[in-house]
Amino acid sequence: MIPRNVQITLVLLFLLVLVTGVYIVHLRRGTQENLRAAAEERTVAPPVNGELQTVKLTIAYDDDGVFRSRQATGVLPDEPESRAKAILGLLIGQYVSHPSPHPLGPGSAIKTVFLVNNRLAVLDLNEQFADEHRSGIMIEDFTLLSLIDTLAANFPQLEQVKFLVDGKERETLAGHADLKTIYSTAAAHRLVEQLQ
Amino acid sequence: MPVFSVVIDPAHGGKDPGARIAPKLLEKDLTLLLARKLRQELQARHIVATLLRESDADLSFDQRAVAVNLAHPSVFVTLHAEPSATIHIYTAASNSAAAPEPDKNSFLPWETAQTAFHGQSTTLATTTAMAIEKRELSAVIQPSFLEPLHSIAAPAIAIEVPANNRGFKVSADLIAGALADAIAIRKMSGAVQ
Repeated sequence: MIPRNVQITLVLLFLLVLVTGVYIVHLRRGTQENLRAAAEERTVAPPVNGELQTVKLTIAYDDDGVFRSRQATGVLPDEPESRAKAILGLLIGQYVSHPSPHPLGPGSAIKTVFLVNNRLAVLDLNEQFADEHRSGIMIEDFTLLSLIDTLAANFPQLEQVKFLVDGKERETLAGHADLKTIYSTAAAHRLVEQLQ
Repeated sequence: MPVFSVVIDPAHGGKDPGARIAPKLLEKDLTLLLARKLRQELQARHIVATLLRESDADLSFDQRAVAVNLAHPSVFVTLHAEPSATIHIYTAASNSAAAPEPDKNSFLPWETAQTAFHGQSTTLATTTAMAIEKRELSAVIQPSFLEPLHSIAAPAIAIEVPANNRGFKVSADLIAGALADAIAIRKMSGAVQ
């Protein structure tokens, strides 16, 4: 006859093994989901070969309430729309790194850049970009100005920029900054200059 | 004779909460609180003031702009709150390449309605900043792409008051008083739209 205290211990051990097993399965599923989500966010584009090139980035610094012009290097495609997307990718890379001068939400990215006659750029932001964006007048303005001015600095013939979110129009970025309008790159640059 | 009047916009409302200041503190509630205080302060100075929303109503930016432009106010103020450190006063940023001189009496694209009032809005922002400084606080004036400022056919400013999980970081009464003083100065200068 097994003593009662040993029986209880065995039952408790069995329960512990069961709970641990369920927890491990749960963790495994979570990790797989995260890996799949991360894979989906990765840029799907052919690898780019070539020389490192220098581009200008207009970076927003929230704490100081200013913009600063910085140079960054990368291997960039020649095709203008892919090149524009890659340049904005370098800018967003600055914002999603830690510490960040102007934090953006996780998974923020530009889905596509369309160039119309090289004068109008349509930036299609992914949903996370807008959904995870912090809400605030200056914070939202800074994001738009930084994207517009970076693009204009590297595509000098560009006159206007329009924003979409996941292919659709939205009223605002996160409750404040106007996303319905078509922005003038010259007007955006005047504002950036005032805040440099 | 036209009456000097003010339209106050407690920003956000309904399904648009604005900034989430704390888990249970939303920007839309703080803006309504400040708007009511501002109306009180204006009425105490014998200035007619109306609010764009009195409750947790859902209003689009176009609905707000239409309501303001139909009311032909002498001043429009939109109120915001944010977890920041500084009081900000915003005017509509120009979004045209050459910043042309507009004609107030001609037909204009909806989103350029504010252009003709840019100078008056800047003066109002400066007067408000001075009234805030008289109360030993400071404010930064900045142009912005904030909705619905571009579509407002009246002198218009936005004010963003710092907030934290306990509410406004500075006294809402002080801010409302400073804004009301600045608007009263504008009234005394004889500015009626």
